[in-house]
Amino acid sequence: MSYNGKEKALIWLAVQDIALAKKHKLLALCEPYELWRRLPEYGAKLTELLSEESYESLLLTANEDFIDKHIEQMDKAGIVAVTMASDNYPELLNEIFNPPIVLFAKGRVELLNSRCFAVVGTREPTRYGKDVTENFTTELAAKGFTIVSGPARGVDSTAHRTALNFNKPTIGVLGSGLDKVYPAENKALFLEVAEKGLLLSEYKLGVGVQQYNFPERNRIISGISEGVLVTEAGENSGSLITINHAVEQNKNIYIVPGNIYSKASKGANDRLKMLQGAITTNVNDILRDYNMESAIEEVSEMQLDFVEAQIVGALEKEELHIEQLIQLTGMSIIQLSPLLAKMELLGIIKKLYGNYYGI
Amino acid sequence: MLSKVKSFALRGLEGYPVDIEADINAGIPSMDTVGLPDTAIKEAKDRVRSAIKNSGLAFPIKRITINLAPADTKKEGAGFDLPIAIAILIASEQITPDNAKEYVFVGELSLDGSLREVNGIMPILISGMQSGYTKFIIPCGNGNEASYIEGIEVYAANSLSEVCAHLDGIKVIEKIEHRIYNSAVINNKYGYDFSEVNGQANAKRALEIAVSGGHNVLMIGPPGTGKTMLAKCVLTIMPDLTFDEAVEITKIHSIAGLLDASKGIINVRPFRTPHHSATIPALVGGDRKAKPGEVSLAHYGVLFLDEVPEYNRRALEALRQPMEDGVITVSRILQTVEYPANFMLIGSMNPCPCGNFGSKNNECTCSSQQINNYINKISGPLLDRIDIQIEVDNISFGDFSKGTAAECSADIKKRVMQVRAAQHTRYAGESIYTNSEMNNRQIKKYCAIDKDGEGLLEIAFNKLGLSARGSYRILRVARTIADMENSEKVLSRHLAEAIQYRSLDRKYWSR
Repeated sequence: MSYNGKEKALIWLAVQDIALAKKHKLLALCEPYELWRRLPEYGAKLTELLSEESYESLLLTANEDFIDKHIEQMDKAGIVAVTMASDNYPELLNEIFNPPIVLFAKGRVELLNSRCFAVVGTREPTRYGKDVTENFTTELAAKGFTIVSGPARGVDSTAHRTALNFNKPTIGVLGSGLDKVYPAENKALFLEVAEKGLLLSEYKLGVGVQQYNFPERNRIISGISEGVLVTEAGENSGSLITINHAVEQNKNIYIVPGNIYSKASKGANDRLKMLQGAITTNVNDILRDYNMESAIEEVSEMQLDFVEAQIVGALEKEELHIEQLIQLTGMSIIQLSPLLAKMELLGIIKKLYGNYYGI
Repeated sequence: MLSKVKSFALRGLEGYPVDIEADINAGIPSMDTVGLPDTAIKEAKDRVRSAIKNSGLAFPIKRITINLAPADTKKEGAGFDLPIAIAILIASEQITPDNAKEYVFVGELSLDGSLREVNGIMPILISGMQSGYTKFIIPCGNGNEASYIEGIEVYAANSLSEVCAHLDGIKVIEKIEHRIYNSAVINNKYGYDFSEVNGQANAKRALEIAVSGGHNVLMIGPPGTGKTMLAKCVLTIMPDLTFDEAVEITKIHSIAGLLDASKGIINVRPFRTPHHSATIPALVGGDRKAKPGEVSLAHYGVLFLDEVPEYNRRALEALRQPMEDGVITVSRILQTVEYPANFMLIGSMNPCPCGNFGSKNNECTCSSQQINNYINKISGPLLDRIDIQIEVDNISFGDFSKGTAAECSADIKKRVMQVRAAQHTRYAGESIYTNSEMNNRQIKKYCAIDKDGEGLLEIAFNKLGLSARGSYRILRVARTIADMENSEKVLSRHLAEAIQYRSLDRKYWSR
């Protein structure tokens, strides 16, 4: 990958261990390329801004060799740098406060310029939260939105996984370098997102998982998206921070209300009290804002026989236990079991945890 | 004078003849035992001396040498007490040698001269019979166990003096009467019955399939939902033991010393529930003497692992090989022994450490890491060997359970026997007995599916992310379900149901 001088200068600045706000102050002083090339001339001005150490490390690294080595390392790892000066830098990101100077990207970089929608939530979703995430994500992805999330446990993973299952694009924004996998059990998901979607990070290779990186990362999730959907969030959920960012960035916010007794929904419900306009009970609430409408349900197109229709009809009202279905249909388990299995495989009904069935 | 007496020793389930030679010479009074005896045999000299004296006979005050031939195999156990005593008595010319030649002697001696029962009589008698011996003298306590073996003369004696009187023809011991094995068709001999289980229709259905085809089962469900009860009921629908099966089970239990002497033979299928602290040797067999482990004790029965994730992970992995092969090879320093281990594995577990994961009403308090650690104790390869996975819950819907009486085990068992019989006929000449044992070639031969079924399998492939191995497992179960309907072909509805029993690993193991 070749970069022009300005891009190289930005990459150079991005990989420095200096706070982002200071980097932006530096950029306000002068053109990045100027800064990179003629650093010593700015000496006096810079020492006001930076500590002596930072200034010295800038001096040491302000050469072609350093940056070429870094680019070579990225090329080897299949990583592309998208800088503020690049043509494909997401437009929406330019509008946020303290935008990332460089985005390191692995996968389908063109997704940066697609319509994105963020789906985030708690790391420990309930069955309800998981279902909601799956349903909303499916619709949003079907409408052409690229699903953005941070491949953490719980709702985030579910959002990515749902998009991938339908072969729809998805972007995972990391809070660490692109060479780090966190949580470790999501390794397969990381690989798949990098292959079929895009992994994104503003941190250089080798930056480990740091707690304080995640809130910062959340501003990118909301920043590149047209809207943010929170399906379930506990009291201290990181997705509440994403909501805060989205408010600052003036994004559309959608929050799904949850059970008032459920810990996993406390944060989301509290936020709903403040942002009452954000309440979302149906994916059409979101789609309407973008002049779209949900696809007609596929189920009704299928040919159902009497018993199947009876089961679907009952399940549309509420989740039912298998014993209740036996009661309802009057069939024995021997007849019912294969029927339910087939309906589940064809996607007409869903088997939930604990022998419950639903739509 | 020199004397020679026959006895038997065991290597695993197989017995081999041991010659007990006694030589009495003039010299400093002593008694030495050679031929790789273990401590129990070395200590025999004290028991034998007292037993002979207390039986009113004379222990020779001379130099005695006892040899156990063949000399190069390690021998163990107290079963050589009786033959050693007889050999000494013959060598000291206290009983006539002629009669003793025909007999094989096994038994432990008490200091007062009475005979105590020993472990492993059944395998010893069977091996003895196979190597052409017909007359055996054993302790009375082992009489019941011996009575089921036809074609040999077994004499059960109470004491050393009785044996001597018998050999000298003074007072002959009655030989044990042969008992006909009866599979004991007593209703509810297990004390459990499926009719006592309310609801749980799907779990019962799954267990019936599992028993019909010999498949392993994993039950997932919150605590207190009757998983253990269901597992125990499985025994009640398994076919009655044939004589050969009963003998094989009895042999293993006899060696392990777990046989009830008053019954003599085991006529009910074993139900083994090792605690989750069980070590690898305890599960698969081992210890210094290469004893049979739980997998062998559960031979032809059920090995029930309650709370599977609580078991030592390596111990669980050790189950994979016997589950696949039906035998376990136990290697120890002194011997390598093969034991049969053809068991049905029933595992039960909670969905997460707190038990509420995925519950409709209760919130799970576990972190996802806790759940992962818990769930992943069961590795993929182990899970792959469990054909049927079901969810169990204790939700009952009042009036329903009152309405129809639950089916009793005897009725289910009748159906199971029919399905098993059908499999026997189909696999005549294939050296397998149940659907679960089919290899890939046999699956291709016996589980042909139609276009409909292929489509369904294709959907399952994509939706459940099935491996090729996983799909073979599904076909085996589908074959069983088809057999239960007496259907020659595996139809799509059979497949659909079978697929359902494999969908849990997707649901729980890759959330």
